[in-house]
Amino acid sequence: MSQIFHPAMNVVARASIFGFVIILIFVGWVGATLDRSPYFTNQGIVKDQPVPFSHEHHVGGLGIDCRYCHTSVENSRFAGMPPTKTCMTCHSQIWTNAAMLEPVRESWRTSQPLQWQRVHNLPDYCYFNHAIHVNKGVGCNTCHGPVNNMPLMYQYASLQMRWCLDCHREPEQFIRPREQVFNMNYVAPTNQLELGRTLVEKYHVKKEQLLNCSVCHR
Amino acid sequence: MIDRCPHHHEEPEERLSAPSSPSPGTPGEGRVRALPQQPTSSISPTKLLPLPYRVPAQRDGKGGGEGVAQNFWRSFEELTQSPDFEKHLHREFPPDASIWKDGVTRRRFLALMGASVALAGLSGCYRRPQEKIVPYVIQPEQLVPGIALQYATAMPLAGYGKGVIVDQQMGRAIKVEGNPRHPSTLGGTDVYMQSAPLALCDPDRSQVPTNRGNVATWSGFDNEFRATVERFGGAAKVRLRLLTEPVTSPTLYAQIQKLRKTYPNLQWHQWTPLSNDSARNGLQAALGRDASVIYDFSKATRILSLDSNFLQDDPGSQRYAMQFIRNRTVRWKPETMAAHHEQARVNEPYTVVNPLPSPTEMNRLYVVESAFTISGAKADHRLAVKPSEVQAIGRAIAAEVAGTATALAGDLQQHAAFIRAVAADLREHWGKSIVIAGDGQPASLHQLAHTINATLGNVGQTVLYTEPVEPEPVVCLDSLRDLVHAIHNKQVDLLLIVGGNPVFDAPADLDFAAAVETVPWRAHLSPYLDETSFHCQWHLPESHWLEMWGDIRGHDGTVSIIQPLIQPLYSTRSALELLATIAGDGATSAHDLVKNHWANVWKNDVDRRWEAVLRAGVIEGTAAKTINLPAGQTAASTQPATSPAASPIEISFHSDPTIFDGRFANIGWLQECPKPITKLTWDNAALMSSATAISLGLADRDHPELANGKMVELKVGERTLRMPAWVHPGYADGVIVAHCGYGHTRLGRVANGAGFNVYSLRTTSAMHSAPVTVQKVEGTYPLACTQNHQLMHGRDIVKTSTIANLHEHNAAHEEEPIALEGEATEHGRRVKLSIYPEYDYRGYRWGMVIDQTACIGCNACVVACQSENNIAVVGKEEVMLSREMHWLRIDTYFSDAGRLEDEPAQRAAGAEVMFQPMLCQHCEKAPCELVCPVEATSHSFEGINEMTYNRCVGTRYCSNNCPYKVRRFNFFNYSSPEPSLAIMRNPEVTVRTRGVMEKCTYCIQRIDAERTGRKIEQVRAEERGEATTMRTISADMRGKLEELPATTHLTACQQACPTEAIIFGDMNDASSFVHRLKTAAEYQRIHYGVLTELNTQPRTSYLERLTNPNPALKIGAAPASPSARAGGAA
Repeated sequence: MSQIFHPAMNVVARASIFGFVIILIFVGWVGATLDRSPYFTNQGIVKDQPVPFSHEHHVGGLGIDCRYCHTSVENSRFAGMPPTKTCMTCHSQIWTNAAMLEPVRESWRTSQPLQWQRVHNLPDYCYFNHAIHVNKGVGCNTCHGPVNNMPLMYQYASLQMRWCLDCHREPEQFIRPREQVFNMNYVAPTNQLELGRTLVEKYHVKKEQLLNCSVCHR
Repeated sequence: MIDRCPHHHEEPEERLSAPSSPSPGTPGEGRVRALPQQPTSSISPTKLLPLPYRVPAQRDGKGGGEGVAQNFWRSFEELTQSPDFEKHLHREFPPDASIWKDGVTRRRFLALMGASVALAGLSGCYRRPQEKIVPYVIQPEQLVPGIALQYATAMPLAGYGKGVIVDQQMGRAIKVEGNPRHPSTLGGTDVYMQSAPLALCDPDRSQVPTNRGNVATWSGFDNEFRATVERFGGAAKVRLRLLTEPVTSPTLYAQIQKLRKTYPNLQWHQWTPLSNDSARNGLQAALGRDASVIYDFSKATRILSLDSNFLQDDPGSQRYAMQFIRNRTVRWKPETMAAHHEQARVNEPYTVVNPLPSPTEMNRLYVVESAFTISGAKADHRLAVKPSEVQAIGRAIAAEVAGTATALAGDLQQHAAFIRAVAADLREHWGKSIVIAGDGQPASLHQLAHTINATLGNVGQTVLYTEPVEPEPVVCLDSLRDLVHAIHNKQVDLLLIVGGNPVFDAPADLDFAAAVETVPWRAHLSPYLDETSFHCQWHLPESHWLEMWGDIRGHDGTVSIIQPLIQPLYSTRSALELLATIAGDGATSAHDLVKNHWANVWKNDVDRRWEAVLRAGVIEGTAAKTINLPAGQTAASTQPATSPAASPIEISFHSDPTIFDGRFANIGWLQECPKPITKLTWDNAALMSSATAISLGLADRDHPELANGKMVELKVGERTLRMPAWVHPGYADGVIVAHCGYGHTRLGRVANGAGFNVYSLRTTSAMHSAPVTVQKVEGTYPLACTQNHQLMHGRDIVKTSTIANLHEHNAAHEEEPIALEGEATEHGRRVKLSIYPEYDYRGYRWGMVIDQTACIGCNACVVACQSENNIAVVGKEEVMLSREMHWLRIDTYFSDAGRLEDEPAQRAAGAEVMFQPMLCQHCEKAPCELVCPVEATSHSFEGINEMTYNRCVGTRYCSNNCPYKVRRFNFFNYSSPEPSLAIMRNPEVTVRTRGVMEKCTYCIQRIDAERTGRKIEQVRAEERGEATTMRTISADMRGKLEELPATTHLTACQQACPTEAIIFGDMNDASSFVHRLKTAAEYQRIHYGVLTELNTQPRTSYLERLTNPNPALKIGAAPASPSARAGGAA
């Protein structure tokens, strides 16, 4: 019986075996890269909003405290979005004719709420609680980034689970004194680890518990 | 088990003596308590975990050398060891539950697997849809997004109110809890209250008025009403009839009074199908005047119920249940846990008043009944009789009590021991007993009950008479009959039916549907476009009570304000708004009507009182006034007994324990909730004893269960109804029990076609029971019963003992070692022998104790769990495949009334019922955790067995490995995408999708909210230099446990329970009640874990069911009556 495969097929076989492995690795790499890319995480992407609200101007420029608008951040899981009335406390007096603010005035006139595009969106099975974080010394800009320098709001962090776990595993790397939580210009001291360990102790942060699934998922 | 089972050496003998019992080792051994196992190694599991001393389960009067053991079983299938059952037992789900049966080749399988693996990876790759945040324009005061607000309101049910507190999240009513301040509930709830969020969001609710079947408007209705009134001669002349449910609401009554002025010819009728007519008539006869009666079970030590299901059917049932149970089990101060919950905020620890009641302190309940109700299940002595026999037994007891007894009539001879023992016991407890008759019994029996109470000096002590709670009490049946007569006599021009569904539930011989068609103009206000609406020109959609203003009285007359949680979802009106409109008050809002009414009552300080009343949920001092009776008035002449006609077979009509009179038939939660004791879902059936079924030729003597689902034709007078039969232990022979409310034809998608309309057999002459002829007909009907689902193979699971036994065996065993869950002890020394990982609980350590003495099996916890945790409804077909999703179920066990060699019918005749709420036990050594390939279920540092849905890939290994069968799998996407249902879901709990396992989480969302809140408080308080309320750490654990804030939250099931049978808390907090129950010596005699021989070390443990039987009565004397044997021999 004659030989079925030509000897050259050895090369083809080797090439296809290795080639298949390489293709698999490549596909895996593409998938992993895509998954971490802003295409899926929305990290760093600015969204069209009904009003081009500038945190840079209001926070960085005017120095308005975060809690002036995000009123429930210290008490509720939801930080709170300002009702139109909050905008109108100032804008009924200043910039009353600015075209940019027409949607706000319209909302006030018609009692129809503004519809903001959500920037930080966690999956529905994640239960993030703002109150416990800000009360235990996690600063606003630790997660939200330099909001005081953002003319238009974007998502600073990837918000992927591994990013959450960075802090849940070692909160001492990020925790700061409670009175500094809303300070946008806070700079971590050089002895952050040392300070962090003291604060973890002081604020009764239970490190082992932070890794329980039910802390975030339920 | 070996050391705990004093009669274990008898069991091999009893097996030998039992002809039908299989040899040990066959699958059949699951039928009875597991055989004593020989220790396979030097360390037997029982030695490892020396459970607290167990009192013999055997009961007085049943022991002896007859080889009678206390056997527990769950169904006839189990009792008779039917081969199908054995097959079923070895599978958690029936064969159909496997998706692929045959016909899938290996190649096809691999292809599918390959595709699914590839696609599984892709399913994670999608971009989340862009969401919007929509803030308020002006944010309401007090509203904080993400934090629930609580509002006190009241749920009206057939005219009476039950106080509730409703959790509201951003304007959505999420969860209903009992209001501890309300006298009718004391903080407890029932299934109807718990199902309110679904009732509010039911997509089948009617949304707009309809005029002759066409969509219309409210202004169209108002105009047509005015025009029609003019057509019939104007307001002064029009013969307007108003048909409502019983009315207790002061404001609504005031509106009706106003209507009467506007329309002088107005006649008002009240109708509800399961009314308390006979109770009212009996009371009228006893006192010579209209009155209401309330009972004080907290002072009663002996209770005789004559066909009364006071634990479920009374407007004050939750109160009665709480008081009844408090005299039965572990007692503490404050009197209720809800009160403790309030006090705990000021750090007042529990004080245990009475760890275990003594036999004289513990109350004793005798029940004579025709159905098998939860009151009967809690009875120490239960006598199952025909409805017509109750009266005679009552009279015989009355005569014994009064000392005028003569020889008992022939039929009563078989109950002689019971009658004498009950009478003697009642006499011994002068002024501390209650005799209560059921609504299904004639007025003469009610009068008799009042007479006995008077003779026993109970009046003024445990039985209180008050002014009538209803402003114009009527006998509903007479009222409806008058209306129909008036219609026939052409005396009705306009008929306004406000609430209710009389076409569906009126007595069949009145033929209300035909009568109502002859009324020239008629309108019906109701939440659904139902059978009655179909027969009216106008259907008017009714507001749900969560979206309306109103007021209503509780069982004792206390008024609650009904305040809305939400604006009406649809174009609806409440009864008050409708009546106000036609009375010319249409411009005034319902809020103003109610407030103005009370402003007129209060005169001054109105705004402050109004605010206070809205906060409290009740108006203090509005309870009906007690009537002080001249001595001896109730002992007046007794009217002659009017028993229902006796007959070989009698039918007894009852309200359904989950859908009530049919008004809740479209609520999926309630349809799927297994009915107490029978465990039927989605249908009703003709319930009967096995002997009855055998005598009707539906089954043979060895396998009575074969009758289940076979169609029978019931004939009452000239009316017939075909419905399936269902044999059930504990029913009297010759009784068919049928629950009303099923068989809707036009209510909604859930209700239509479910069950059989028993109202079609009810007539004005036989409202509650009637002679019936039963005939077997061709055909079977599939019934979905959950009783045989998630079986635990007959292991030693429920435990029961008598209080007398308990105290007898008390002294010898007080120095038993005490084991907390998580610590196995041997001779008082901690030993840890397990391959499972060890945890050190320095923080919170959650645990639960369930008191089986207190559990009345009412299902409130089951529906509460469903509401709190977004648990899906799966439908009848899926239930039949054991796919129901309830995280918490109430297992029902029957105790054997006979001997092993007896026939099933005899063994079942006098069976006692035990309830065991079964939920995830949160095992310390959880078998489910180690088998999960993706760590979707894991152990938390507070001891909770966590379930992470987003990790779960649906292998179901955990469920296979769970000995308690408490894990549930989403075989399909059960959560309905119906938009209206989205607003009822609890936003704190993930809505699960297909392919995910789920189970009880100990309400992790509530734990999380409590822990988060307390810790924030703690950090803030420390910063201010203030002290926080910390948990108590016992001396021996000081230094080993963390100082943490004390917690006071409740799980959903615990909060819902009317009898506080479920106790949850931090086991590391020495002042918590759960810690006391799990560690203190006085409870160890009754405290046990289920299946602890597997060394799972469950965190949920149980207190044994305690009963207080009368030593003068032998257990099982009542049943196994001659008729049972006769039936069996037929």
